[in-house]
Amino acid sequence: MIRIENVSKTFRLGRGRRVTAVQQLSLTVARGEVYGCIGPNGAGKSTTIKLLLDMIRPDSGELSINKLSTRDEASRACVGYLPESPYIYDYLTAREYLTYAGKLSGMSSVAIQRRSDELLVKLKLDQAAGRRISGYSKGMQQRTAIAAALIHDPDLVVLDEPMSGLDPLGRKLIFDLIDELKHQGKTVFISSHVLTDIERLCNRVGIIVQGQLCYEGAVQQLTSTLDEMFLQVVQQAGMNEVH
Amino acid sequence: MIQAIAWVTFLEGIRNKAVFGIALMAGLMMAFTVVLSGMIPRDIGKVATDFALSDATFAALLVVLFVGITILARDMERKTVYLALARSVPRSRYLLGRFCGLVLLQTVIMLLLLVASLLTLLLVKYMYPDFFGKVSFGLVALAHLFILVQMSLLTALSILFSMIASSSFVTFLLTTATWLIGSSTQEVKQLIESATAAQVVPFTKLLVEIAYYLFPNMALFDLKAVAAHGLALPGATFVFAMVYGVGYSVAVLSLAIILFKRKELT
Repeated sequence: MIRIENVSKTFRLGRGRRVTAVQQLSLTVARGEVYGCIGPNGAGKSTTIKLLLDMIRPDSGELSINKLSTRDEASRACVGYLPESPYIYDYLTAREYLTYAGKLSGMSSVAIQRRSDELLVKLKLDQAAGRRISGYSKGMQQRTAIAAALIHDPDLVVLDEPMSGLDPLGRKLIFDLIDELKHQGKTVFISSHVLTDIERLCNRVGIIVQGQLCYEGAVQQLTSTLDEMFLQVVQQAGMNEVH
Repeated sequence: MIQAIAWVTFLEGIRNKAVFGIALMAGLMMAFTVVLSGMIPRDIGKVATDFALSDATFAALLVVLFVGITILARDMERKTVYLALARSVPRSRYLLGRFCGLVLLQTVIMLLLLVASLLTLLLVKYMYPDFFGKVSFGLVALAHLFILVQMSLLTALSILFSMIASSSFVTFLLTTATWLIGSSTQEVKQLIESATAAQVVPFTKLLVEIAYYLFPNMALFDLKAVAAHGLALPGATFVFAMVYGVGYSVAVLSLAIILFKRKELT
């Protein structure tokens, strides 16, 4: 489903300085797999997601979704994306926002109405659906953004820090939702710092440190907890703050 | 898809509190036009028309500068653009949708300004029928259409600038400068070409010439004098202004789309 091959990306910082965000990164995610992408802050997780969605372009390497190059807009037709700390159109109501998201995915009005009702109930937003998003709490805004990512029932769901800013109840809701996606056979790519959730939800994990994939393996085959494995990999990669 | 983006852009604009502030200011300026008309001894209609059209132009300009530019800047700064582009929405359609939404917003505001202008002029005419003169209400309406085309062109330019500028403030400065220069180059060119300007150095002449062809000729859309004096507007002038405005907007928007396709949305 997702194929990333030898991808590198550097950013210009000005005055001729450059920073390498992703370096010779290769990974694949099979259809129906839930893949957890973890790493310290600034490791290159969000950059990898932005490369995958063609928001930014690689210096070298190839990326594809469903065998279609990510440069092709059609590759994103089956993708639902939740950005990290999403800003949403707060002058709209949740229902208007979902209608807009559905229209962008080419859905009919009837299908949008049906799917919106379902998601609003599932994410406990149905009571507030007619209110403007500007009056929502951070957790409600995050849940609205997730509903928008799922409105077109995508085959591939890319979630960048889905638990960010959520209270325990919100986290439970999102956890259950991802678990449901897993059981529906959807492909899920999650970037998160909440390692316990990653451990419980994902089939495989990849640990990215300083733009490089330093570890990849099945969760069931982990010889220690993901927390311990994460610290060990980061230490081996030579990140000073871990020592 | 373009329709959905345009509609959301329109909603974003019309629900922006700045629009209400601008509408209130335009209303007060129109009321001031009525008051001011009482202080003019003659040609009241001409002065009132000139003021009403200036008010409408100023209000429409504020909408471009403080609503249009903010909408585009927020898209990039808050990454709301991801909602569309993470789906299979081509970047060209996204930008076209944004432009259409902003033009729709300008159209609605311009219609309201037209109603306000006509009411103002009718009130002035009712109050001072003997000194009102021959003002063409049809030309006043046409002048509003010209302002709309002018502001659509300026909106396209602001979209282009937002593709190259690092912040919304720079976009604001570039758009304002273009409007100011574009509104005055024709007059300056005519001035330095006149016989009385023989002492103008060749370098200045060259600069004015470059500015004249580089910047859009905004003076082309200024019908204040024509409407206030009830002069005839030749069909060729009308067609040329419309083709120029639409053609220039299409060219500028095409360039903006090329830049947007290459832009990295970090």
